Amino acid sequence: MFDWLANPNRFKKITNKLEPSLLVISLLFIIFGLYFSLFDSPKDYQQGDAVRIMYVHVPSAWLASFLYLSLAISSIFYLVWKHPLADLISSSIAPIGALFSILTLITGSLWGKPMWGTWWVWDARLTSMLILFFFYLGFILLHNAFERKVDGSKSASVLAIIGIINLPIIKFSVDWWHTLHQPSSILKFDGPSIDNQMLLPLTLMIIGFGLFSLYLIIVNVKTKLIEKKCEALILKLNLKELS
Amino acid sequence: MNSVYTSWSSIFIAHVKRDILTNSRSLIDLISIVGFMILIIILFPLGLGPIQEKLNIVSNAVIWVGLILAIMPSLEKLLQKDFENGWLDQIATSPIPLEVVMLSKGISYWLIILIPLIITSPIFAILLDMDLKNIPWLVISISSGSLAISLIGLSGSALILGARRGNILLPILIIPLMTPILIFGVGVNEAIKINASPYGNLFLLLALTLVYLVISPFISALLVRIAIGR
Amino acid sequence: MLYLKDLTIQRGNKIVFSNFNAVIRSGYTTLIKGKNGSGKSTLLRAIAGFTPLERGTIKQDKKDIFENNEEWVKNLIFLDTKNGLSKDLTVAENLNAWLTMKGWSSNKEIIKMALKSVGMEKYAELYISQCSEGLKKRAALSRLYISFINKVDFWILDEPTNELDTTSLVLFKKLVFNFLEQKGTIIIASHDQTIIEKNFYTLDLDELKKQRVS
Repeated sequence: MFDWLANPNRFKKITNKLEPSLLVISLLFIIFGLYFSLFDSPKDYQQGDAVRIMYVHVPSAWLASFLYLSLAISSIFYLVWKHPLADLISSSIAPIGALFSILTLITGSLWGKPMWGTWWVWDARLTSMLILFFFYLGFILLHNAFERKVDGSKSASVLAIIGIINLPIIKFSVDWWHTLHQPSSILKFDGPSIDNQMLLPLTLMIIGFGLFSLYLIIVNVKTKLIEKKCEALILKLNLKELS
Repeated sequence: MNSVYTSWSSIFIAHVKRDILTNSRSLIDLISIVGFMILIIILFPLGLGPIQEKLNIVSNAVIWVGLILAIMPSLEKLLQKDFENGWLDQIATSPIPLEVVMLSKGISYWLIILIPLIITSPIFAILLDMDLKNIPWLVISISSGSLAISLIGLSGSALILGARRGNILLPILIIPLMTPILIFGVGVNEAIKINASPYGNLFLLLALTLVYLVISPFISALLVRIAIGR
Repeated sequence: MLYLKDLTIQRGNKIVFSNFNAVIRSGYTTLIKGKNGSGKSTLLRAIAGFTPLERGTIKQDKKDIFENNEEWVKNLIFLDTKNGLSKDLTVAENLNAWLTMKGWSSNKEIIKMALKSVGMEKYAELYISQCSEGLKKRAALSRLYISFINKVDFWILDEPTNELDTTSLVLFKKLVFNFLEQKGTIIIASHDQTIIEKNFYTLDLDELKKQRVS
């Protein structure tokens, strides 16, 4: 399946068709999701309108985690089958994943203000998300830290794999740390049990965010493919001039 | 079969010996690491004020954080030196698997850098006014967790082999990986403070050390192979 | 015999060799010639098992060398422009570390003889940080002497003579001669073709690549 997709031309052909419809569909999901979440869903009896931040916060958090998993999988593909497209995909995922983890942190802090009266709370989930952000950051930095691009791709791919092994350990340890130090907190970020009416906008937003990030990744990969082609052309021209 | 294993262990010891010997020649490294650690410790009383109760509360955490920060500069050179002078190429022609060689590197780093820090840790504890009954547990927890720290450091140092500005990059790559060690390590003494059992945290710490004993040599060997293959 | 079959080797994004074929004859010196950037070092590193092959096989007689890599590297001495010497150790300590790392027995006598073979016996206690480039190279070359004590089949040497003066060059030639006497195989990459006088043949990478194009 991967081999079949791995052909850059075929990849371009398929994604060219997919791209516009992905954008439209994802925007539709997000627009409807926003409508339901902002106007047509109940207030929380404790949090009031502040609960509506959840409709951005939770999908971002899910995507940040899910994208890291995809990053690790494409990194494994790159290391094992050495296909350059897999590396393009992982390096395209990384900034988007980092963006979603920042979005999670910002919305989390915005949500924290009305709930706890402070912009930042060392909640277990937020802390894990902060660490996840640093994994993304590390990947991006390491990817660009070498003279030759390939070397960076390989090292960063291994880092992504180290990350996916360690993230469950970190998640567990942070949860452990949190229960150890803060038995008194009443409200968790899940909030109270979720109402059915909240589920609809939440689902819409998650699907919308997911499709939109897929769209962004595809655009990103395509840009990088063009970039690579340009580099190869410039190299060819230089060689011609030399000879 | 038996002779194969004895030769494995003797070659393993040869690797460790060589690393200890190279590092014993430049004692400056060790002195600066311990000095750096003491300076980190000193900064806290200076920052918090010389109030005994405050220091007592943070002492445990400060020592662990100090430990993680103090070894960062030395980790950069852990493999880089041997990469630059070609020793890693020679190591790759050693008759024992590269994974085992990497394990020897992690262990010799632990012996050279972390053992001195473990030995001096009671002094740091006294400087920060830690209760005397907590000090043995501090030493126990650091002893159990420090091997994991050096193994994580080993794979981190393998990640930046040949990178530009690897020294700046390294802490960002590996401090996130060290958070579980910090949490369980600090947890041991926090449990003692509230008269709870420290064993939960301690066992988790030891379990993590075992996990990294298995994972880290493989990851590091993979990265070293990539580095010498380019 | 070492058969290099259909080798494709990449360095970075650049393909250095594609479908490259060659035979390395046992008991001879193979001198690898080529311009800068023609891939001499890459080829040596591939044969030593460092640089991974994209495609192709390297077989020693019938055995793929990568299948039993530990067996292959054990009987191999690899030496390139980076000497693999630690600045913080003396000449003798470096040799001792290398010997024990290779799993071979080491004692004062062996080290003394090995250093003598490259004319370094006076410098045994000198730190590498105090050595000139020529002395470092000789300290590294002293490892070759070990082939006359332990079982070594292959030498892979990358520019071994660049920093050597005439006296040490003679000593190096003697080592090469003795190793060929005992049916060892040597692969050398060098600009200087005069370093080997007998029992050698050259492998010109530029020629081989040109032939493929035409």
